[in-house]
Amino acid sequence: MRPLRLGAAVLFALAIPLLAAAPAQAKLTGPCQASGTLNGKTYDPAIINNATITRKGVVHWEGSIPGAGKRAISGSVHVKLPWPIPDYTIGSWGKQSDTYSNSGQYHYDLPSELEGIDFPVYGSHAEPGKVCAGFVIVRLEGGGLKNPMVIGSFVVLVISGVGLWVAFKPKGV
Amino acid sequence: MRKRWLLGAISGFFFGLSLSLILVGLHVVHLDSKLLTLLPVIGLVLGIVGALTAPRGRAPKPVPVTAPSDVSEFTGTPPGAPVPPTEAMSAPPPEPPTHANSSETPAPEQPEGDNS
Repeated sequence: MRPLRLGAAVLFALAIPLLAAAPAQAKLTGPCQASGTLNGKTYDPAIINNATITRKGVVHWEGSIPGAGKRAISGSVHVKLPWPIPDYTIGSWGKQSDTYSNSGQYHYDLPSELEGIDFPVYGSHAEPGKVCAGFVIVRLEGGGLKNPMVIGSFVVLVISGVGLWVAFKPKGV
Repeated sequence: MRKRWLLGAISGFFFGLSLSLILVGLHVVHLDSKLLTLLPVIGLVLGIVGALTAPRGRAPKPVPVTAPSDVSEFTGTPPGAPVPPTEAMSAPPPEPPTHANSSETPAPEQPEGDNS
């Protein structure tokens, strides 16, 4: 049985792992347990729902759910994007599995244009009689006015503002 | 008709789009906020409407030529120099009376003789 199948616990812990920081009211429901360690710091999704992480790194994750025996599972971890853009799926699992705990590493390396952006990451796992759901806001370190995307956007904002001024100018004058 | 509406549409769209990117880049809103897709659309619509409803200006007025009414002021004008038009000169001359049909022309009054 492939390890990722059990994902349930695990993967949606994946969201968490990307975390780093601010304690807040956690958004985690169900019997699943999960944690992630990034740069030597361990995060528990049950107690945090907002995290600031580095732009690239390796997350050591682990997760579990109580139970025994083979059963059908399904779940996914995904990033929600503005409508109507479809969600970006980080990982998903399904079919039959007899695994109830798992661990692994998740490598990520994101572009600098995404620094400072808040990513809403959702995770879920379902199996007969058990449903887990999690949510966390992941923010990449840096960004702000140093983000190339923000700088470029300010330039476009000024240029388009001039265009609007010309378009709105009284005609015939 | 100048295509102001097209300029307004393009400018409004990019204005809203760049505003969205700034808001998300400065983490004012989350990446899943519907505002990010609404702003470019709102900018597009407002750009078109604003350009179409922009106030229409009047054609520039010609600069009025003011001429002095006293022609004597031009006594110092050198010969051959153009004379600025006056109201009397600019007004069309009255049409001369037509005498083609003498029946319609009122006959001059004859001095009444003393018939008594």
